[in-house]
Amino acid sequence: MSRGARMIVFACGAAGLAALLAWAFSGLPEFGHYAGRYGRIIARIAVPDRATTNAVTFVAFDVRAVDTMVEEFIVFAAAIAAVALLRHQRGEPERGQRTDEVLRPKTSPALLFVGALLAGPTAVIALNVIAHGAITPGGGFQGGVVLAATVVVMVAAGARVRLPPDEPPLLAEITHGLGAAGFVLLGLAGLIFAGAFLSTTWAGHGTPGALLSGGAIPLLNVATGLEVAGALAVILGEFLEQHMLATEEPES
Amino acid sequence: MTAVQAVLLVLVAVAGTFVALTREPLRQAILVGVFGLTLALLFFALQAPDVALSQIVVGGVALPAMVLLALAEVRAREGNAKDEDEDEDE
Repeated sequence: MSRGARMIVFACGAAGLAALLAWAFSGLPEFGHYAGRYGRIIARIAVPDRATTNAVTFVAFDVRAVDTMVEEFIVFAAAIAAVALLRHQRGEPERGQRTDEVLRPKTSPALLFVGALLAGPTAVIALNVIAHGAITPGGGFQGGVVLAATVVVMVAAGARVRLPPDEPPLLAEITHGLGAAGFVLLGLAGLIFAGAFLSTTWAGHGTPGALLSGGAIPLLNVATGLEVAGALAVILGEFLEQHMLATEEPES
Repeated sequence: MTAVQAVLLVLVAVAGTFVALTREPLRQAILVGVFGLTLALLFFALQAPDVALSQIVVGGVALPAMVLLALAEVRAREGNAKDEDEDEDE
């Protein structure tokens, strides 16, 4: 297709989209005016019913906990798919020869210093965000990603990326499996002790604002944190390893 | 709408335009992280700190990291392909 023809197609599409958007925006409620009903209900019951001062985690891990579980398994499946694809691609002849080799990234002293400086605080922030998920903004997902970022920072600081190439990143894989399994087991605990899958009331109520409050929601946060951190570490680890193997090859 | 929110909305639009107009993938990966951070600030100004946190970690950490790693991978592979065998799979 020539450039002119493409521009005509684009102009038609853009004009249609602009018209639809203008139509839609004209029907929107005023900026900052919330018209829904659920938000008000959630805001009213989050603290008295579940002792969760962070209403967002109340929604994510109680009201729509099954959705959250499925989302977790999306991350789980993504990690496994990445591992399967990348390892399949890597299954080239040089495979068996590298068994004892440990690859290190080539980093500058400055990066090494900053990485070493940041790794500890980043991990603490991650655990803090996970632990306080039911009380303040944050939770398992956000903290889990930060925890995975800690792994990246450590690699930037020259930490070893495990390898023989045939072996999995063991700790990360165990972590993400444990997180996914833990979420389901906590759901089953709800089924057994409170009569509904993923019900969170069985673990007690607690004082609103206390670290251990909100029933099973803090536990679900920990499970999610492990799952997300593990899954991302698996994916990033696979990419890093792949990259380091690829950059080593030309020299050999 | 407060002034802060208005300024941040404009900032997000500007950052997004820059991301879309950048042609070089490496530069784009860095810019998309910056764009993610402005978006996180906007969410924060709109009183959604939880969403802002998610946006920071996904838009500022996970997405750029994965794009960068994928880029590095593609480049290393292209380099190898050129070094070893010109007509393998292009």
